[in-house]
Amino acid sequence: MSVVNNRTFEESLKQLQSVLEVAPTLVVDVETNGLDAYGSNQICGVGVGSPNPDGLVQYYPFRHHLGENLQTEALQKLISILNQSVKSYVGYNLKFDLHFLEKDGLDVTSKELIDVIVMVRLIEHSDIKELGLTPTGKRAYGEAAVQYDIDTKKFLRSNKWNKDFSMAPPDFLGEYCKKDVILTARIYNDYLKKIEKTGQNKVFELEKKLSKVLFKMEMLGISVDKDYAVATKTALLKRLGEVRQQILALCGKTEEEFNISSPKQIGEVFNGMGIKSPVKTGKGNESWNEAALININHRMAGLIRQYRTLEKLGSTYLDPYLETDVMHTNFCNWGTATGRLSSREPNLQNIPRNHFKLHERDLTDQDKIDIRNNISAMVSQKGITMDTELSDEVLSTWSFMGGDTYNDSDTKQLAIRRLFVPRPNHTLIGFDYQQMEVRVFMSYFRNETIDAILNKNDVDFHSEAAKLAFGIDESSPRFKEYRQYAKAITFGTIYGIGNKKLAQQLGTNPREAGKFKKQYFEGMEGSKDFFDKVVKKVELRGMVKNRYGRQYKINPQFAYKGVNYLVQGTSADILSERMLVIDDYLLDKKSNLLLQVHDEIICEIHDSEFNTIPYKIQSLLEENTLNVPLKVDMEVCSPSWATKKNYKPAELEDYIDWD
Amino acid sequence: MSGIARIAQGRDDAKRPLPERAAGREVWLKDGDQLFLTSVATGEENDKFLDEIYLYTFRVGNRWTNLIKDEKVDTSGVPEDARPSHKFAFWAYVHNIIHSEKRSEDWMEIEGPAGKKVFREDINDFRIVPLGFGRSDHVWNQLVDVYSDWGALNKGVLRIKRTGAGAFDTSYSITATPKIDEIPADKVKETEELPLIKDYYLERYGNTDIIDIAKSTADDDDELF
Repeated sequence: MSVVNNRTFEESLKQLQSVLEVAPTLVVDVETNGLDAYGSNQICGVGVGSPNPDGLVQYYPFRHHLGENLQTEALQKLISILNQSVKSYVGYNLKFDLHFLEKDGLDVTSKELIDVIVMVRLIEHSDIKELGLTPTGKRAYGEAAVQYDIDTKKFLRSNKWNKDFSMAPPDFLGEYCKKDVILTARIYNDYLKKIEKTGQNKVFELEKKLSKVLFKMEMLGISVDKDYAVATKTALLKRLGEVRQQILALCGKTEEEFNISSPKQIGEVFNGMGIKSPVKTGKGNESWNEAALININHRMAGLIRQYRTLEKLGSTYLDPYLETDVMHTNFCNWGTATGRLSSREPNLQNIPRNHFKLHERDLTDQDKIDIRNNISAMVSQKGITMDTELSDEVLSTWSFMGGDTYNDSDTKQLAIRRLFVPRPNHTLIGFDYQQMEVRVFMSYFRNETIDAILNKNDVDFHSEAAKLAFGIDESSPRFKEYRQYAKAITFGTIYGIGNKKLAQQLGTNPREAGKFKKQYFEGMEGSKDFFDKVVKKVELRGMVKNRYGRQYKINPQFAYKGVNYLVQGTSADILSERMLVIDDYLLDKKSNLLLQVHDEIICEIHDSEFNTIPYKIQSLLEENTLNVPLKVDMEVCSPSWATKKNYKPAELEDYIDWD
Repeated sequence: MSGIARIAQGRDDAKRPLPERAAGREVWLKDGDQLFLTSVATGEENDKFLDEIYLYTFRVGNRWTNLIKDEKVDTSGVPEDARPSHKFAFWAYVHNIIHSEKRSEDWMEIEGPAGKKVFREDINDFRIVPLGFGRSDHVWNQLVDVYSDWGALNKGVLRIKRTGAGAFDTSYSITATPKIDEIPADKVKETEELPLIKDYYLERYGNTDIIDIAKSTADDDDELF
């Protein structure tokens, strides 16, 4: 084990080369001076090692502030050896390391990427949320195996080096990095055996290829309209000032007396006005969180909530893009137990679809209905209980929430998706699977009747389910009501909700809800059998596998969750499989795969390919190795992600310059 | 042939009915016209479908006259103060010309998003597109940009729009569109028979010494660009 220095560099490189000649798989871990691989942060050192935990491990220091660094050309020599000799990279959250190394010339185009954290996700219990190297090492080998990490982090913190590891000397950080490499190699070997033992080789292969595609998507990123970010930030600040003044006027305080961002002061001001919070903290104190503010029928509560929402929009989605042209998200193909993709910085799933209004407006009756619906959807999504009827005066403070249609010429609207635009000579096109989860759910109990529904074009599954389950005809005046029941039960089964919650959604009591559910299962031939089989399997074996062989370890007490894992997981794996196909198809094209959000894939299509390849992509997405009949909608996002319209190949009229 | 005789012959030629004269294959645009074409020229080295030419344009009497500047052509009759304009020209398969004014009943009316009307003339044949290089080569540079972007000139449909009239106010824009209309399969073979640009110009604006420009007017003269 050695931290390489200028004296030992050539010899170390030879050792590395001879190891790679025998087995061209390399474990890598980089140390950096920050977390932003696309900005000014860079590596300060590179840890490499054999996948055999007892094999070669080296640390090459390059940009430490203290101690001896290797000469500049040493980094290029190392990168050159890696480019020539490595066939597979192994790492923990590998894409992070590779993005940094790519800045210094690493080329992973023809390499296999093996992300150990993805392997851990495949093996660990579905309830496990902490998948980092240290918690995984601790779970797998005990606390002693990760004591070095705890000690090192403590030491780094005490020296204030924890934000910038390059401040630590190579001898110290190198030893730490090497231990990370060894632990990664150890987990890799052990979990590889577990993957083989649990028969998850197929899904593991899928994940390895997916890591590569995601790496490319992250590198490319999506183009950002910086000017929009700057202009909108200005408009947002102005609006925040107006809302702040309204809040201060309502409570009769000055800016010096009342800091709106302080929950403590909010509590004091409300209490001073004789208003108590309807929500308590865990310790029994008054809470002034969102759930509390929503349940206070006072205009100031609504304004504070608006203020917080707008402020958060600015800091989360505008501030990071004021000086950048490209947004590089971080896709995590290990981020959810089901296998669904998640993303960070930013979390694409959280980017609001709806726009926001940066001005006061008078509400029509229809506006009030829309706002109440919006509130109800939001409350349900966030799992907040709302027992308060809001007056029109309070309701007006919610009028800043707009719908999902965005008017590009209205400068008083703010849409976060408006930030994201195509590169020059490209068009963004969204490919969205229609009712994917319902289709996958039904595919688990396919029979002639279900197949007939799945193969219909533009089918409304909930209507079909209502007809099958409740024997009701579309001409019946109660058809809509039964369609709603069928919808709630389908999703209730997919997401595993009990009779109590179902009753709430159906507006009835749990006993009645249970009866509807029974009727549904009887009418939807095969659905009950599928549900029972999943539950029985989880109860007996504590696990269930989806169609791609992905294993979910589930607590038998919550065996019903198995259906959700199967449906979500199979949907996720179909999406992953199709992304690999699309990536392969686009290899010799000028168009690119950019994002995956929910069941939607966003591509940027080069102008010269606009009339041809979208249809091909659509048909490739609809195919799948499971033969589940899937349908994909295609929409052009123009001029930005915020505005969608139906795709149609361009005609002469579209190219005429009308000015 | 003396300059007088040559000019006289040109005048006689101009008086003959149009069908008797060699049909011109260049495209002439008027203010606001938009040309949609697929280039036959690729822009690559030794591309025989793209060339540069020097063309004198001058008045003889009330008519405008063109004469190519070439060592094979006697230009002694060209007025002393006439300067040849430097143009580039290329063969293209012209799909349509969009006109801002209706000058033929055959042209189809198209209404734009804001109610503006234009008129489509279908050509669907090979034509030569001659253009001046423009001030500081700005017209030529647009074609070079297309070549850089596409890697060749024939990878998609180009839109060429003329804006303005007269020697000092005219400009052309060349835009690569996402349209992918190709030369129809049954027409591709005809490209083998297209004459070289230089040969075409010699034939049309050289061998008969001075020939009247059948349709051109002062508006078409973009020599200053």
